[in-house]
Amino acid sequence: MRRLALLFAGGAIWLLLAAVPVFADGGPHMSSINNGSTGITADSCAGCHRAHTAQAPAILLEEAPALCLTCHGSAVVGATTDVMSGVQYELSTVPTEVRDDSAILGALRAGGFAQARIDSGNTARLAYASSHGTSQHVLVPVSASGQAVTSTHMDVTGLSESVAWGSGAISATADPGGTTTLNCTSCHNPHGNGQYRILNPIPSGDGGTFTAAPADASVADAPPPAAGDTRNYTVIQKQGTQGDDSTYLLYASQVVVGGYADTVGDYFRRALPWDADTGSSKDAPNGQPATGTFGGNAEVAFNTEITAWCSQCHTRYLTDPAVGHPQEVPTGDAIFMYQHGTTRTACTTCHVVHGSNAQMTGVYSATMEYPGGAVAPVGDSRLLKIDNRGTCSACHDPTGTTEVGTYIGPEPTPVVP
Amino acid sequence: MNQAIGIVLAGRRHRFAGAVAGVRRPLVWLPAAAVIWLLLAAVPVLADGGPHMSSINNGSSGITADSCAGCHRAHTAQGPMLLAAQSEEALCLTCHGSGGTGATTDVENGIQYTLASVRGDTVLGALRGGGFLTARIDSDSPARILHSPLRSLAKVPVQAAGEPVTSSHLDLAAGVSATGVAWGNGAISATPNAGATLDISCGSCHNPHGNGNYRILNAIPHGDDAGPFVEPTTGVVVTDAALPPAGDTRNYTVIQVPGPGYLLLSSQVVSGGYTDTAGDYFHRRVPWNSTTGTSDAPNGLATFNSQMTNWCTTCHSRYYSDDPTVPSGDAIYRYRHDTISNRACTTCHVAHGSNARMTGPYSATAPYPDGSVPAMADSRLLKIDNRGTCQACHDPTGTIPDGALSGPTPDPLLP
Repeated sequence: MRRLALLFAGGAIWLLLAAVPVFADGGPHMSSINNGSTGITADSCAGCHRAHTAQAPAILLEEAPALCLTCHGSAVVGATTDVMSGVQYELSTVPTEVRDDSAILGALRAGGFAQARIDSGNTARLAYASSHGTSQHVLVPVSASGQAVTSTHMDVTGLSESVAWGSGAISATADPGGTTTLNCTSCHNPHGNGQYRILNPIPSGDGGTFTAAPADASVADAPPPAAGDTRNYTVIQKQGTQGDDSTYLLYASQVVVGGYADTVGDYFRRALPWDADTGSSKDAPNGQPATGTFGGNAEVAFNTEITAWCSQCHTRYLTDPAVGHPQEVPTGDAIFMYQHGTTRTACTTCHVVHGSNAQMTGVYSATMEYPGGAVAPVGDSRLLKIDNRGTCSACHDPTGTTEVGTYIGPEPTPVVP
Repeated sequence: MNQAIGIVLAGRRHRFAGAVAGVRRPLVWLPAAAVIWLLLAAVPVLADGGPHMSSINNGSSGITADSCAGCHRAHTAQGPMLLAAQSEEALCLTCHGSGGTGATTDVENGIQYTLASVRGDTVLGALRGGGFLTARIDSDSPARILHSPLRSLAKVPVQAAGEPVTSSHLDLAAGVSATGVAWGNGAISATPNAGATLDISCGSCHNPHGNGNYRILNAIPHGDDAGPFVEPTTGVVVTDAALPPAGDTRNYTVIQVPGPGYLLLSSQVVSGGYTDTAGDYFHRRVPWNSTTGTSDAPNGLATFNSQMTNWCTTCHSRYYSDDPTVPSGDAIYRYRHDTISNRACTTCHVAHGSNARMTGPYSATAPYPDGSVPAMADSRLLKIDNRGTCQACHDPTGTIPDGALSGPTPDPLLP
C-alpha cells in the first residue's frame, strides 16, 4: 500500500513536471501534449476533432483551411497570428481570448493569404565595398497597412490542384513538376512536431502526380516560449549571439518590451543588421544563423535548413553546394537548366511563403510565364517581396555604375531593431 | 554580388557624373519628404536606350526594375548567366535580329527601322556597324575627291539592298567565320605573336544592362579566352549623346550632318526627309565632300574618333599608331598605319560585318597576321572592295589632279 502511495505521489509530480514542453510548438499545436508524453489526458484533440459528429475527413470539425482560420483568420481571437492579413497581434489579457485584436505586434514573415504588409515598392539599398567589388545591403520595409496579395501559395477560398514547380528529378524532356492540391496541413502538422513553424519534414499535398520526398528535411525550432508568452512570428528581428537564445527576439514579449512599432522590420533579412559591412549574421528566426557548435549544441543554419525544406517539393530549384556558380553550369534539365544559386541565398530571402502583395506592373514581370511556358495570371508576383524584378536589383548592379556608399530608398531609412 | 547576372564585370565599376535625385552619396542627407526621391529618380541621366537603361538596371531610379525579366530567368534559365535563351546571341537577336520586333535596329541585316510600335515597316537607314548576315555598303561605288596631301575626301554610299557579308566580328553568317583571334592583342613582342585566341559574343563588347557609354560599349571588352588574351586594366569610355526623349530613339545609321544638327535622333532623320539610302559609310568627314568638314561624330562630340580608336585598341592593342614611319619593335606589327585623328579604326572598318568584295588575287588571299590564309575572301570588315580603302585617301602615282572626282555618276548625294 505504501508502495502504491509513493507511486501515486510520484505520478502526480511527473505530470506537473512533464507539463514543461520540450518541443518547439505553440498553443494547441503542442506535440508534447498531443503525443501523450505529458500524460494521456490531452484536451486539445477536442479543439479540432469530433469522433462521431465530424463534418470533414479525418474527423475534423470542418475542413481545413476553414478550420485553421477559425483561429488564424482575420476576425477571430483564437491565435495571435492572422495568416489572412499577414500580421501577428499581441497576446490578450482576456482569459478567454488569445488575440488582442487592438494591438498589432508586427507583420508576419510569410506575408498573408489575403493581404500582406510588404512595402514592396520602397526597398532600401546601400552599396558597400566587398571582395566582389561593390555589393549591396538590402532592406524591404513593412507597410503600415495591408495590400491585397498578388500571389499566394494556395487559394484558401477554394483549394485546387496546382503544380509543385520543379518537383521531381532532373529531366531532359520538359517536366514543370508534379501536380497536387495543397492545404494548410500539407506543410504544417497541426498536432505539433518540434519543427520550426511545425513544418512537416516531408511536406505533401493531396492527390495529383506529385511524389513526396523520400526523406525528412528538418528545420530546428527555438525553445518553446514561457507560459503566458508566445513566439515572435514577425519580421522584427535583431542580430543575436548564437548559443544564447535570449539575445534574439524569439518571443512576442521581447518585441513588446523592446517597444518596436508594428511597422518595424525587414522582409528581406539577407543580413542582420541589414547595413553592416562586416560582422553581420544571417536570418535566424529560430536563433540559429550559422552552422556549427554553439553553447555545446550542434546547430545547422536556418537558411540551409529552410532551403532544404522548400526543396522537398521544389526539388530542382535547389542548387548543388559543390557548384560554385550554378548560373554557369547546366543541370541537364529541359526547363530548370540554369539556376540562381540557393547555397548562399535562401529561398526565404527572395520569397515569402504564404502570400505577397508585390506589384508586377512592368511589361515583362506582369506577363512572366510559368516554368515550361504555361500562361500565368497577369501580375502574378511569384511570392516575391519586391515589385517587378526589384528582387534582382536589390543585390545586383550589372551596369557597374553604382558607387560605394550610394543609398537608394525611402527617407528616412526604414527602422529595424 | 554585382557579377552574378549578365555580363561579368570582374569588379570593374564605372563612375558616372551627376547626381540622380533620390540617390544619396556618402554623408549626404535628403529631406524627410520620402516620396521626393521616387518622383525625381525617374530622370535618366545616362545614355542608353530601351531596356538597356543603366538608370533602371542599376537601381538608381528605384529598386523595382522590370527589365531584368526581359532577358533573365532566376530558376528556369536556358542559358548561362540565367539567360532566358540558350545563348547571348540567341537572346539578343530576339529583338535585334531580322525577325525581331523588339528593337528598331536589325543587326543581322545592318539596318535601322523607324520607330513605330518599336519596329515599323519603314527602313530609316543603314547601320554604321554594317550587319552580321547582310550589309548595305555600296562597296564598289565609293566616290573620291582627291586633295593633297592626305586631304582627300571620300564617300562610301549606301545601296538599296543588302548583300551577304564577307567578314564578320561574330560567327552568325553561313560560310563566314570570325577568326576567333584578337589580332594584335598584347604587348609589343620581338618574337611573333599575332594575338590571342578569343571567343566573343554580343556581351563581349556591349553591356546590355546599359552603362552610359556610346552604344553601351563595355569600357573593358572581354571574351572567353583560350589564352593568353591580355585584358586591359583600364577602361575606355566612349562618351554618348544625351538620352533621347520619350517616344524617340537614337539614330544608329550612317546618315549624319555636321553640328550643331548631327542627326542624333531617329525623329530628326525622319523629319529631315532623308531616304534610307542616304549616308556615308566612310564618314571620314561630315559632310564628305568638304575639306572643312568636321570629323565623324555620331555622338555629337569631337572626341569620338580618338575615344573610339582607344576602345578598339583595348583588344587590338598593337594596331594603335600615331606614326607609321616609326618601327614598333614588334615582329609582326612592325609598321602600322596611323590611327589618330580622322584615321580612326571606324573610318576604314565597320564593327559588325561588311559585304565588301575581295575579288582581286592579292586582296582575296591576303594572309592573316599569323600568316594563315583565310578559307574565303575575307574583307576584314573593310568598307570598300579589294583595297579601295587605300585609294579612298591616297593616290601614290601623283597623276590625279587636285580636286578631281572619281566615282559613280551622278555624284553621291549628301549626306
